[in-house]
Amino acid sequence: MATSTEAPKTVTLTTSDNADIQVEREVAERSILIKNLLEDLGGDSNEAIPIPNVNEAVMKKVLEWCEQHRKDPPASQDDDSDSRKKSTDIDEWDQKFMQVDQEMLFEIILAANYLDIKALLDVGCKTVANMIKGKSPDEIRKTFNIQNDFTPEEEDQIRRENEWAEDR
Amino acid sequence: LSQLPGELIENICENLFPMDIRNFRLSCKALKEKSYHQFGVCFFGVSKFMITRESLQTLIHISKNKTFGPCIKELQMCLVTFPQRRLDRITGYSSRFHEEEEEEHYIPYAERQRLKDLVESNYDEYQRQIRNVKRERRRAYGKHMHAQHTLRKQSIDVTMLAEALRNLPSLESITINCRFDRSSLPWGCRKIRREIGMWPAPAFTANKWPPRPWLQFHDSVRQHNLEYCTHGLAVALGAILKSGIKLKGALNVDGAPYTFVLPQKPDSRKVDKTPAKTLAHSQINDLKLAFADLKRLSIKAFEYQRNDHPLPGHEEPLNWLSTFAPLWPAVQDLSITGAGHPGETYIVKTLAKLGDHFPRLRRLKLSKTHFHVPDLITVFLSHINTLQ
Repeated sequence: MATSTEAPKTVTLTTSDNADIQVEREVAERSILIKNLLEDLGGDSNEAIPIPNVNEAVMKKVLEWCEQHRKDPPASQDDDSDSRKKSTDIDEWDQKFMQVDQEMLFEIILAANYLDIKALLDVGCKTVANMIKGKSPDEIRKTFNIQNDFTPEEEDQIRRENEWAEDR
Repeated sequence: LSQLPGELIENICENLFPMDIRNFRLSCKALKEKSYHQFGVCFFGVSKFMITRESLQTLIHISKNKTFGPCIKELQMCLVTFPQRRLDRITGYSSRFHEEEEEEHYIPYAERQRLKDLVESNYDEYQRQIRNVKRERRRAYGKHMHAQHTLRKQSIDVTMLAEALRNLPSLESITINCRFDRSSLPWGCRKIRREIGMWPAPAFTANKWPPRPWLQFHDSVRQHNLEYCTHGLAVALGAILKSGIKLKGALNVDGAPYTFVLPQKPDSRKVDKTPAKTLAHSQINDLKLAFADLKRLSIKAFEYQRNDHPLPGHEEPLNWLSTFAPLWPAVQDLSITGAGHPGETYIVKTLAKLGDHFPRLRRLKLSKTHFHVPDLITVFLSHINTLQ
């Protein structure tokens, strides 16, 4: 008979750089991709789950977020509404979590997208959006180290299109 | 950042404000391309237009644009009108008094400065120019007034709107609005302001106190506005019918008339404010398919006042609801806002008589209106299995 002291179930994830990471199943299942894979493999499989698109460093970071949010309710349908958008509100813990270099930030976003962790993807995208808000095109380029590849004519045309879209 | 896939750039852009999206797409070619759809959604997702030839022409033009047309999810038709009485209010001036009191009369700053210099150097010339400005503005106002009259009389408005609706594959909701927000103008509104020197009038007459001299014609303007609100509703419904579209989101009517009088048949020759070609009473049932999946319905009554006795419909406010209710079987969210007139008990009484005509009703909102409690209880009981 199962008792409350039973050890939590764990799964092994194999990252793109062939590192094996053991993690509690409940934590790993924050990822819809992993959850579906585990369900497909059957209840008690001990097989390692290959995660070919995420390396060890990023996977550990993602799992750190999953651990923190393991008890969060699953995303509901209403979360897709516009009220979710345009908000700069990011949980304090998440804000600290996202204080990483830009390369890692984009890797986390890509991993969240691949692993299908909607809430983490939203936090990542909001963090990038907050870095863009209130900045001029030049400041955006500087922040993200982007090369301006527009000709003056092209830039002018976009400005005209911007004005046209707003001039009512 | 520019290496991220388009779907993620879109996700990021969903969290940006319009100003930020404008700047973002100016950063580089890749980001411009990847943010193009969100740019469209941001600026065209909810699009506002007026029933004027130029505004409807712009709507048709945008609806045919392969990028921006599919971005329009909600169309708001702002009922802007040109009552004859307002012609008398046009001046060539842009005095401080007018600007502060009405916040309407408008001359660009540079032009105002030039006129100020002129008044100091040559007063006669200044007066002559003011007269010219006034003449030009009156001419422009008259042109708009007649153009809108022609649109209505010849049912051009409904034809143009229907043409645009056919090209909007993502359209879910339509709003008919008797007012407009100056911070979010309908297309073409600013141009009209430049031409006539003041904002065009919405078909909405707010109570103003203390009374102002020009409000002595208040009642006739209100009558004009009421007729135009009725016509606006007919144009929107007529265009929905003619275009064959299906609305899955919301129908919002702000400025709904108590009575919605339409010609009996499409070939009716009787001259009404709304021509038979726009929408006829016999065509109402044909709207069934268009509204079969409509989820939200919001009706806000025209701003009737207690002393509005000359205006029609006081006895049976929103009596047309009983005719239209069978068209809306999927409505889950029903909102009715009255004008606060005591006779409005008739509205909930009508809903009570309708029984379970809204079989999926989950939310009912009544605002600024009167009702008898037994009627409301009947409405609740009719929807006891769905109301939440």
